[in-house]
Amino acid sequence: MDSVAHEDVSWRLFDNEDLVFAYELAAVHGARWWNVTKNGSSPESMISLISRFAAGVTILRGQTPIGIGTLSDTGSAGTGLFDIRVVDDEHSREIVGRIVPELIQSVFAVSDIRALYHERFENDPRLLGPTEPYWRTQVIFPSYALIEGRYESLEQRVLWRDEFQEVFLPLLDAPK
Amino acid sequence: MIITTSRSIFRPVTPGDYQLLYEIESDPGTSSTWRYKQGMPAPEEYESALWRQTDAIWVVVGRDTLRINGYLQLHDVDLRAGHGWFSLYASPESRGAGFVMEGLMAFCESVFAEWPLRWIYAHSLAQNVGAFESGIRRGDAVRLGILEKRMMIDGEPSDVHVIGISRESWMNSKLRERFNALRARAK
Repeated sequence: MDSVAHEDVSWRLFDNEDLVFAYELAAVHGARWWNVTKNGSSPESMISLISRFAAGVTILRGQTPIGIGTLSDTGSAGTGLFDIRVVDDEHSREIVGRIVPELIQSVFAVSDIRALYHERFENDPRLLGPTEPYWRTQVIFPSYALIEGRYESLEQRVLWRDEFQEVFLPLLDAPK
Repeated sequence: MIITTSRSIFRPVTPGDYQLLYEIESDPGTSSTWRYKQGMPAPEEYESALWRQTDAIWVVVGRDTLRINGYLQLHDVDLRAGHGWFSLYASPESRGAGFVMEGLMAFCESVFAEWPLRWIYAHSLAQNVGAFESGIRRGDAVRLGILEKRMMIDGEPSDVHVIGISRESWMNSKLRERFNALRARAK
């Protein structure tokens, strides 16, 4: 784990130049990235859906993009949908979780969002790093969509701003 | 699809219904909980607001009064996944009289007969979810979860229940059998 712990993972705000990377990422994910690929994989359709996100970041290993984080469905209820998508290799999936607390902290710092939602199909990789246990399951849609030959359930989980800031962050800062 | 029961006619909405729908939706008692949370659209914008993300609308008309007692919407249909969402609205005068829940049975019959959907879902605020409880107890509907404090209603957080009705459960339900028997008698 040492090599992972010291690897240079960073993020920057998503811009138009990242659209091609996002498109490639969506094409690789296929149905597993349902919100972007459900209408098919034409570039026009997928880029139009990606462009509608309220905010996005590109996650980098060194100078190389390895994933994106998005915030969507923000509205008057003070909630938003948080998503992370990573290139298809185990190492990237492993290291991306390290940046997640910082991304979430940034969302709460620049917005009045009180709760973040996250959706995952039952066989999706777990990408939320040390925040995983703080996401509470609220809804499960059984056999939601056909993914790689079988219907998978979709789970909706919530992370409350208060719990993240008052319980999770102090643990992160505590001396090891 | 038009479905007639002993007291209601369940039929697709037509432009001639819009004015009455606009009037019943303008009820101040539901303005903070129904879909137009930012306020009712202007009458000239009503049609496009009514149909936003919407695939089909049916009205529930009382056979004796010929008044619209409510309506049901099928929206956000995802044909690839085979599911969609529904909303139901009861006019202030007909609330509690069961017209719209009867409409929901007709709605299930129509949707599962004419759309290739496996599931239909609804969001229900905690204060309205009682209407679904008997269906949940019978197994005709399922509570898929509760989005705690999901909405702000008049400044207060309110839970939102997620209700699901599957094609399989509707097609095999005793309720459907009884509903269709009553329909046959109403003809």
